[in-house]
Amino acid sequence: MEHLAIQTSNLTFRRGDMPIINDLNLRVAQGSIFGLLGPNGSGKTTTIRLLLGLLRPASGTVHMLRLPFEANRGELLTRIGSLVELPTLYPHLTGYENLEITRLLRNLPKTNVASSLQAVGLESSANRKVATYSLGMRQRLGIALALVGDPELLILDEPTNGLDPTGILDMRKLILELNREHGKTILISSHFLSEIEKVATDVAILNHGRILYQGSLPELKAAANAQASDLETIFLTLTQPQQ
Amino acid sequence: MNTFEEIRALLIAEFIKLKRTPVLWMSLAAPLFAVTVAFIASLTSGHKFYQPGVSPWTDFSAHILVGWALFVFPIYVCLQTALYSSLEHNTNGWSYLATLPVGKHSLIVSKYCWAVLMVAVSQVLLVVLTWVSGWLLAILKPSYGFQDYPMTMMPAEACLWVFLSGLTITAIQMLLSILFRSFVIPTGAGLIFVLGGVIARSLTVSIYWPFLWPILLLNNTPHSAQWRLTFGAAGTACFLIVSMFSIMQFGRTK
Repeated sequence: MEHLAIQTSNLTFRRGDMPIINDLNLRVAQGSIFGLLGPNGSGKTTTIRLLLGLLRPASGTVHMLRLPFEANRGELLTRIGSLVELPTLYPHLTGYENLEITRLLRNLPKTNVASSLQAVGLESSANRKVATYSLGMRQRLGIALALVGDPELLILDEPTNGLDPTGILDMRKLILELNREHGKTILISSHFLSEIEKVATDVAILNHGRILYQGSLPELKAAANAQASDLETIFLTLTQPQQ
Repeated sequence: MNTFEEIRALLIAEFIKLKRTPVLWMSLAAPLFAVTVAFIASLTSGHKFYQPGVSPWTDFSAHILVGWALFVFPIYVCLQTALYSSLEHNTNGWSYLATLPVGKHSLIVSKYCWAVLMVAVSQVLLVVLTWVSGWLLAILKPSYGFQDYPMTMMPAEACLWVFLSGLTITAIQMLLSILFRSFVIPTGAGLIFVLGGVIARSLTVSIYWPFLWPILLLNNTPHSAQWRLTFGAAGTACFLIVSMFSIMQFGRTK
């Protein structure tokens, strides 16, 4: 039986009477790069916020790293790094100081700050105020914040947002390196299908808060129309009839 | 980390966040403003305030304390707490902090500790600046006689009591500023509370209005024996109640 880094059971979330997430049964295998795909408003960010305990589900449960999240929040958050939507950065502080805050709150050695800065290639800009950073640099610093605790599981919500082609390429290399060389499980949400196709081992396609497909990329391609070889076509085939 | 270590880490992290922000500088700017106004008034029109044979230190200190307790201090607390909380609101920091392995209760406790500490610093600075400006007047206007009398300890005693009686204002404004994302709402509400209190000051029920407690405590007199210290006790007790409520409330929200 495969070990699951994330498992949700019938996870449901409503805003008022409106269902946003419906009976979500997400299964993210340990060691995988899992792409959470879906059009805007499909529930990707809400799912991530539910996983991290930022929203209270109407029903259902979340297990992370084989532990129930609600009962083990403190322990699990030391083992998980996340970037949800835009990175939380204090612009009047330097990149180093922003990481130092997270390091303190995670009770980590100072060396973790330097290693996470190095991982995202921001060592030379570490002592500059974040207010002077470009959008891409801010996004990389956001990833560094997620990495500072050397987490087993990384949850990244649209990590390539605002990055230029070089930045996207660097981010792809970083994600692959973190997974292959450091064994980290990574969940990435995105609507950039081509990007996910290049890094993900498994995907889930989400639409209107429901999973339309979940499994490995090759299985998805095999199950889809034989003529649809790229993820974009498969995605459109799956999501369009419902829109 | 245990709760003590958590709060210690949070207090250091909060200090890093406060560096290079106007939030910290306000602790200096507010007392500096109150003392500067009184200093300029004394420098230009002191001959009207100070009588021969009477220590000018008492009148000068009382002049500063009235402006501080009635207007400057409550308004400063409203602005400082709103600015402080906006550090998190503007960066979506509350959500991020909730993804870190620190207790939400500890987080709110550390925020309240810093808010109280900054207010305490402003009170200490008010006392120091009062004494410094008195010495300056002794040099610039020897005719007032500051140099002929010992420096009074009254401002220090008064500021301690004003601090305690004003703690409830700090707790209420922290609660509002955490609750509302907009900077305008807690600041606007605070200004209305302060000005409303000033307008209704003569009413009997005004004794129940926390925004007036610092000035009511001073009882229009520089003589500490006549101060109404009950307002200091009320300010501290209500601070504990409002703070506990905030810690419980924000500690369980998602």
